[in-house]
Amino acid sequence: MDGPLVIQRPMRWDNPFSTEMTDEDVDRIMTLEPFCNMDESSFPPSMSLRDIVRNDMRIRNYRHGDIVVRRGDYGNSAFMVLSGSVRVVINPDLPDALLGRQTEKKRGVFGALKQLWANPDMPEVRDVARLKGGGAETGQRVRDGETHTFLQDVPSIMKDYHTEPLREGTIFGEIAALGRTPRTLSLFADGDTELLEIRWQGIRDIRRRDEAFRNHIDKLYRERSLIHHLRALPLFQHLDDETIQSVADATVFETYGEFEWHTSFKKLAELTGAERLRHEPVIAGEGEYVDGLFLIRTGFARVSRHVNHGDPTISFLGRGEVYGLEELVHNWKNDDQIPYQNSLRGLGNVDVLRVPTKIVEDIVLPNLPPNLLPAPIVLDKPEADSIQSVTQEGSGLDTGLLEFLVENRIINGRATMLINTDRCVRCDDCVRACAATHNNNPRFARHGRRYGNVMIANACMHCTDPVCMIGCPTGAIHRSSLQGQVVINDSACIGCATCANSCPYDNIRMVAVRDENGDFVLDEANAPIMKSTKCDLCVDQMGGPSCERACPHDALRRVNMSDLGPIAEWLNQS
Amino acid sequence: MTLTRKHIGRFGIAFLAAVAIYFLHGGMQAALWEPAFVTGWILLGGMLVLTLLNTRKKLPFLPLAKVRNWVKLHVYLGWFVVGTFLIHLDFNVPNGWIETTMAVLFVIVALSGVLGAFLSKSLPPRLTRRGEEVIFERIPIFMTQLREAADDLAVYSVEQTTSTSIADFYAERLRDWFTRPRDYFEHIMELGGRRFALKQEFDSMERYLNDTEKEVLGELRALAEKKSDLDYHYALQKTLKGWLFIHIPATYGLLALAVVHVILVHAFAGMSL
Repeated sequence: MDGPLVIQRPMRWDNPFSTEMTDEDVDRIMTLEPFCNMDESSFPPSMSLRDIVRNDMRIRNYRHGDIVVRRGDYGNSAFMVLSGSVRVVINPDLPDALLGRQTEKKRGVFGALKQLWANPDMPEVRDVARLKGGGAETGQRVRDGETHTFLQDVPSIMKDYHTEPLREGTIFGEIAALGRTPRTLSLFADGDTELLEIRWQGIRDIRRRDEAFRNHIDKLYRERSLIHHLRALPLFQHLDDETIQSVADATVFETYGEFEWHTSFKKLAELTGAERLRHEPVIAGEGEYVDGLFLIRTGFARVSRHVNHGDPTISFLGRGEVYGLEELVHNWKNDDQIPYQNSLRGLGNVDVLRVPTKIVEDIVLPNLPPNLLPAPIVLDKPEADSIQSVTQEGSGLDTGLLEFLVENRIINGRATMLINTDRCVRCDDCVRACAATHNNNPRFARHGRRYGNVMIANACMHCTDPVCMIGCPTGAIHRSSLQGQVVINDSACIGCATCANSCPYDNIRMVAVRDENGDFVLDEANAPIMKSTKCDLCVDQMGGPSCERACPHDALRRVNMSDLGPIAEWLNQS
Repeated sequence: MTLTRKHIGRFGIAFLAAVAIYFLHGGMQAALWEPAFVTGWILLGGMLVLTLLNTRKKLPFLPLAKVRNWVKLHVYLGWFVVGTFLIHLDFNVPNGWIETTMAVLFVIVALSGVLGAFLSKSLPPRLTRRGEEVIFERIPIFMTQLREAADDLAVYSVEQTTSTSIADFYAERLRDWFTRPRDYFEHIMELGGRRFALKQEFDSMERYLNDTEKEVLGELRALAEKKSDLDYHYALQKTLKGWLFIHIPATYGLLALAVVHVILVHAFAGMSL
C-alpha cells in the first residue's frame, strides 16, 4: 500500500473542547484512574483514548466557593476531581437565590392591572438598583475569560446544609450529561480545586469501548435513574417494586447516531430525502423480528414506513415515548407472529432502553390494564399504502407539514407558537399583548419559517431538550418551578450570549438595557450592558400566554409537539 | 369560509333572541305600554357589550376569557343587536336629525362590521398564497431597498452592456412604479392586469437585447415581481386594518349620540311609560 494511512477523525474535533490541552496535560490524565486502567488497544486509531482526552476534555480551575454545577442545570459534561475537593449539597437544596434563579410567582389582580400605567415608554428599561445589586449571597468573578459564580459565605452554608466532600479521582455528573437530564444536586469548590471536565461525546465513546467504564456508568444509571424512568411511564406504573426491578435488570441500554441533533439538522435539511435517510441510524427496522420494546431516553426518533422509493414519516418520538408496543401486543395475543410494521430511526444521537420481548410478554403485558393496550394492528388492508395515507395514519397532519416539522426539529417544542396564516389578519394583537405583559417589550417576532399556511414564529418553544440551558455560567436560564417553562433570571444574566448562540431556532435575543431615564446602562469600559431575552410563556401572568389569548381569530396557538392530535384538529377546523 | 353547524347554531340563537324581542315588543304594544323604552335599553346594553371587545383587547394581562371567544360573542351579539335595532325602529325610517344620524351611524357600524368579518375570512388565505410573509410596517423599508437595487441595476446595465436600453426602459416604465405602493384596487380585486402588462413589457423588451442584457433584465424582472408581491401584501394588509378606521370611530359616535338620545327620550317621556 502506498502513502500514509488516512483515517476519518470525528468532525467534532474540529472544535476541541479546549484548545489549551497540552501534551503534558494529556500525559498526566493518562496516568490517572480510570484512564490508566483502560485498554488503549480497544480504541480505534481514528479515535484513540489519548485523542479523546485531548479533544473532549478540559482542565478547569475553581476557587473556594465557586459553584461547579447547580441543581436543575442542563449539562452536557461530567467532571472528575483532579486536585482539591468539591462539596455536594445533599440536604436541604440550596435556595433559588443562591443558584442565580428567580422565584416565579403569579401576579395578583392589582399587579396585573398595574401594567396598564407602570410599563415604561422606552424599550428594555431595567431597575438599575437591581442590576447593580445582583445576589447578596453570591458573587461573580471572571477568570481566564470565564465567569464563575461563587458563594459568599461558605462556612454558613457548611453549617446550615448537609454537604459531603468529593475527593480526588471522583467522577460526577456523568448520568445527567449522557441522559441530558437536569442535575439533581448542586456542588461547589471546597478550596482551590482542579477539575477535569469531559464532554458527553467523550464519555459516550469511552463507554462504548471500555467495559469497566461502561459497567460503571450503566450501574449508576440502573441504581439512580432507571426505575424512576420506568415508573414515569404508564406501561410500568402498575408493577410492584420487585417486578419493576426485574424489568430494570433485564433492560438493555443502546445508543444510536453520532451527532447531536441540534448541531446537524440544518446541514441535513439541505440534503435530499434519500441522503438524509442514510444519516438516520435504524434502531428497529421495518420487517425485522420484534426483539423488544424501545423507550426513548434522550434524543428524537422518526417512525417511518417504506412506500415505493420513499420512507414517509408517520410520527416522531421523543424522550419517554415507546415504540413497538403494538407489534408486541399482537404477537402476544395471536399465533401469527408479525415483524415491526415501521422503522424507527434516530434523528441525531439517540439513547434508547430496550426491554426484551420475553420480559414484556411475561411480565409487562399480563399485568397491563386493558385500557392501556393499544388498538389492534390492521394487517389486511384493502388498499396498498400511499405516502399520504401513511402520514395521515400517524398524525392526521399534511404529509409535507409533518416532514417539515421533523426536518426543522420543531418537534422539540413543548409550547411552539404556530400561526395559521390562513386565519391570521396580521393585526399584531398578539405582539401588542406580549409587549403589554413584558414592560412594553415584545418577546417574539411574528415571523419565522413557514410551511404552507403554518408559520413557526420566532418565539421560545420551551423545548423538551433545551440546549440553550447548556453552558450558562450563572444559571440564569433555567426551568421555572411553576410549570417547567424555560425562563431567564434577568438579574443573574451577564449577557454572555451563550444561550442565544446555542438556541438552534434563533429564538433568544440579546438586548442593550436602559435605565429609568431611557439611557443605555454602560459598564466600566463604556460598553452597553447586554441581557438575553425571550418568551417566558407569561409565567407570571394570571391567564397564561397572552399572545394566544389575544388572538381574535384563533390563528395562534402554543402547542406541545409531542401531541399532534390537537394540532391537526386545530389546523383542519373550518 | 365554510358554514358549519356551529356557525348556524350560534346564528340561530341570535335570531331566536331577536324574534323573542319582536314578540315582547308586540306584546307590550298590545298592552298599551311603550316598548321602545325596553328595546332601546336592550339595544344600548347590547352595544355597550359589543364595545367591551376593544376594552378586553386593552387588558391582555387579565384572565377575561380569550379574545377569540369575545369575537364570537361580538359577531353573534352584533346580529342580535341589528335585529333589535329594526324592532326598536318599528321597521320604519326614523325622523329627526339625531335619530336619523344615529340610524345612519348604526348602518355604517353594522355594514363595516359585516365587511370586516368578510375581509378577515377572505384576505388572509390570499396573503398566504402569494409572496413572502412581511410585516406591514416594514413594507416601506423593503420597497426602498428594492428601488435602490433596481436603480443600481439600471446603472450597472449601462456600465456592463454599453447600452441604455434597460436603463431607458427602467426610467420610463418602472422607476416611478418602484417608488411607492401601487395598484391597490388591482390587488384587492385580484384583477392581475398590471402584472400581466408588466410581463408583456418585459417579454417584448427581450427582443431587443443581447445575452448580457437579457441576464440583467432577468434580474430586474425578479425585482419587479418582488415589488408586485409587496404591493399585494400592502394592499391586502392595509384593507385588513383599514375597515376598523370606519367601524370604531362610527361606533363611538353612535354611542355618544345614543347617550344624548336616552337623556332626551327620558326628559320628554312624560307619563307614557
